[in-house]
Amino acid sequence: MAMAASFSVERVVLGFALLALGVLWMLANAGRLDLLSTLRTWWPSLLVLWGALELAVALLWRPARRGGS
Amino acid sequence: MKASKIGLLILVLGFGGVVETAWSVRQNIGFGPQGCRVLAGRFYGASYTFDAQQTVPVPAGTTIEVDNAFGGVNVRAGEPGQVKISLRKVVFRPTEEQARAFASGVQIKAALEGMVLRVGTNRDELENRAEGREVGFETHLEVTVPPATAVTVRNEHGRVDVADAAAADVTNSFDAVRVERVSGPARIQSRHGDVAASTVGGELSLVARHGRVQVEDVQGRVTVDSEHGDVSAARTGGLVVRATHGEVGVESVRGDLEVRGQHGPVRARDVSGAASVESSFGDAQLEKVGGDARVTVAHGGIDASDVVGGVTAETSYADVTLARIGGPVQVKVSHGAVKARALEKGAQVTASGDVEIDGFRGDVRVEVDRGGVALVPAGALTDRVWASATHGAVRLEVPAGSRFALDATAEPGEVEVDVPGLVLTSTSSGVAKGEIGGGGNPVHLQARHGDVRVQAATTGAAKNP
Repeated sequence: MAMAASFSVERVVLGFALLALGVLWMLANAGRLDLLSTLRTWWPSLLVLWGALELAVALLWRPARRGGS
Repeated sequence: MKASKIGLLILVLGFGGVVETAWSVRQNIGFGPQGCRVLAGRFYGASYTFDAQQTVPVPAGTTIEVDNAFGGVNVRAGEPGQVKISLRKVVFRPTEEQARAFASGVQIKAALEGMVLRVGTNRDELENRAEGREVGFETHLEVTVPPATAVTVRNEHGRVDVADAAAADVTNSFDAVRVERVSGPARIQSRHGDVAASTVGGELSLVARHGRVQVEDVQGRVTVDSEHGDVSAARTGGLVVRATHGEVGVESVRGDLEVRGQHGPVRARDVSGAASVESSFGDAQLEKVGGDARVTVAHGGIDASDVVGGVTAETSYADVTLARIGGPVQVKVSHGAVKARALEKGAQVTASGDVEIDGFRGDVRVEVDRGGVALVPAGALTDRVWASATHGAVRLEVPAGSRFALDATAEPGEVEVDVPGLVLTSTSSGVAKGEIGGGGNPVHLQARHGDVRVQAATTGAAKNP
């Protein structure tokens, strides 16, 4: 429960976002891709990722809470 | 929901919004090559101009095809047996040295293939190189061709002028097009820019998407297809105009006129043949038509005068005005009045507004809802008249020498007959029957919720001069 309390979906999303942005920016500076068009295509994946994490947390932790009560 | 979630959601959506906006801006505003900007197909920035010339001998009857992208094209007639090509290179670079170095690579391309001389530049080759993509440059072509040469021009961004050719086929995307003094047929396609065509000996086909269209002095048949822009045509052969958004003005057509308009008024004058006008929104005005005139307007007034043939007019929410019509008239108006003068071969009118016909010959049938009817024959009345008005009065003036059998009813209302020589054979409340001149064709006048008045002609009716 201590781990669950420290786990934050927002932090994971923010972490992924920063990681992805940094990697893409680096690749763009290296001339491997067009940053704007890549961001424009893939930025909604942040919402998908976030939604998936929220769903997973809700579905996986609900039985645990029931068991504890 | 936690504040951190809301904050992150705002952050993600804001980030997405910024990315989408930046993408949209980049898609619509190209900053183009280095050292200049490209806005609406034009380069802006420091530039330097350099010239090049080339002369190509050509056999008689050679046709010329000119291809260009950024820059104007001017084609005119010169000496026989040769084509002179002048290329003005405008290179957008920060310094003259850089511009000169690049301009030296911009060259005229002229290749004689059979009886076709293809003229252009090596822009495609330059743009395939990295350097060519980074430099903005315009290529303005002046081509002097032998007299009576058929000319084809394809251009993208730049004005096109073609003069003194045997035939002209011009396609342009972003700038004005002028074609003049073409002895044969001409074909023009323009997307953004004004188009002017004058003195064309053959047929003219013109398609314009955005821009004014001006056509003058075309011997052959003219077809104009315009989407956004006013159209004016003068002194043409048979004319067909399709105009979606814009005014249509036509003068002196030798042949038939056909106009399909949608959002804009139509005005036509001096048409030797028949005239057909269809429009959705906007008034239609026809003057001096040699044949029949057919006008249908969804929302707009109709004004036709000096028509040799008949007139068929249909509109709503506006009035119809006719004057000096030689043939039979058919008018149908919803929520509008009709005012007609000097109709030579009768009329059939259905309207929901006042109808006034001053000076008519031939059979007349008028049916009016919510309006009155006033009829004045051009001379002695001997033809059939049938007039019915609901919520309005019916008035007929009877000139001397008339011969007819009267049948007038007003319900509720009064029938008043005051014509010397008209003998009433039957009168009762709201009904009068009688004859004048010994009787003849029936004159049926009927008013519902109005009076009927039959009186001797007091003033001279309108006449066709």
